[in-house]
Amino acid sequence: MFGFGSSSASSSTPPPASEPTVAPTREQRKHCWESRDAYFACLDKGNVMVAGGTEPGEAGCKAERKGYEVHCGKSWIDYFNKRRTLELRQKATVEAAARQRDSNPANKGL
Amino acid sequence: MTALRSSTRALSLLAKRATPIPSRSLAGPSTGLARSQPVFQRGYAGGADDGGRARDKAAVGPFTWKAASVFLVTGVGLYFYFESEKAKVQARRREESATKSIGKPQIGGPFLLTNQDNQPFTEKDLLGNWTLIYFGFTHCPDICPEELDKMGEAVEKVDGERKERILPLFVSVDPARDTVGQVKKYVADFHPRMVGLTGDFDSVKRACKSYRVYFSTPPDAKATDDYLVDHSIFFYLMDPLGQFVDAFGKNTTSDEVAGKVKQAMEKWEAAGGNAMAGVPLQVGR
Repeated sequence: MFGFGSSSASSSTPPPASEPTVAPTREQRKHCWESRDAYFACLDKGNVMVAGGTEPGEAGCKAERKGYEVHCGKSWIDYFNKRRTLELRQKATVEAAARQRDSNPANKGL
Repeated sequence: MTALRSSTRALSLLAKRATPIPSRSLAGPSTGLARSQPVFQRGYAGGADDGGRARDKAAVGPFTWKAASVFLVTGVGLYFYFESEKAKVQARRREESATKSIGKPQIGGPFLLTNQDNQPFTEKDLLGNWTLIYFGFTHCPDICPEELDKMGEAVEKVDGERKERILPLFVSVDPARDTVGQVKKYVADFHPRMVGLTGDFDSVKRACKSYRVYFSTPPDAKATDDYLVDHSIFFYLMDPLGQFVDAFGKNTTSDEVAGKVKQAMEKWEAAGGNAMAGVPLQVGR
C-alpha cells in the first residue's frame, strides 16, 4: 500500500514555523483513523470519488471533514485521500470488467 | 480431409521404404538388442535376408542369454537405484525449502546507531538475541503502527512458550524528525522491550543498505517539514548470530510470525544453540 507511488514529500510549512513536528501518539493515531473512517463513510453515501471538499456531493459531510482535518496531519490527509481515490478507481475498473464479461454473449453459460 | 489422407498415405509409404534400413543396422554385429526382440525382426527380414542373419550370428560371437540377462538385471537395478536417489534428493530439497536453511540472502551487517537511551548500538548488540527488526518512521500514517503492533503480538506469543526472549527492534528511516526522545516515546507504544534506533542521515543510510531496505527521505529534509517517507515494509527475523532467517510482509499474521520464530528457535537449539554458535545466551531479560 505504502510502497508505490504514495506521496513521499508533500512538504508544506506547518502553522507555527521552526517547531519540530511531534509524531502522534497511539491515542492521536486512533482518533485520526476514526475520524477518517467516519468522513469516508459519509463520502461513500454521497458517492463522492475524490475527498477534500472539491465535489458537490459531499455537502452533507462538512462536520466529518472538519473532525478529520482536526485529528489528522496534512500529509496523512493527502495520503489517505489519494489512497481512497486509487482504491475506488481500482474497484470501479474491476467492476466494469466484470460487467463487460457478463454482458458478452460469448461468455454466457460459464 | 483429402489432403490429410494423402499425407498419411505418403507417410506410410515413406515408413515402408525407410524401415528395412534401420532393421538391418539393428541386426548388425555390435548389438544384441535385435536378437532379444525377434518379433521386430520377423516383420521385415524376408527370405532374401536369411543369409545375412547367419553371417550376423557368427559375427556376434560373445552374445549369450546369460550376458543378456546380466545386462537386463543390471539395467533394471540401475534404473531403480537412480529413481530412488532422485526421490531422496527431491525430498531433501523440499525439506530445505520448507525451513529455508540454505541460500541465505545477504541481509544484515555492520551499522552504528543510537538507541532510545542515547547509547550507541551496533550489530554486535544483536549477538545472542533473536531479533525482529523493522524499518519505519514515527510519523507513519498506518502501516508502521500496524506492523509494529503485529511484531509486539508475535513477541508476546513466543514469550509465552519459549525461554528465549526476542529483541524487537525499530530502526528509523527519518533521521530529520526522529530524535532519540521521539523514538523513545514511539517504541514504548508497541512493546516494553522494544529498542528504537536512530542516527544521522549517513548512519541510517548505511544501516538501510546493510539490511537491503529502501527509503525515500530526502537528505535535506527539515524537522519542521510535514512529509511522508516511502520505505520497505518487511520485518526480518535474525538469528543469535545476527544472520537473516526470514522476512514477513503485510499479509503475514502475528500467529504465523510467532510460528516461524518458534520453528527457527527449535532448529537452532537442535543444532547446538547459542553455545555451539559461541554467542551469549539471552534469556528472561
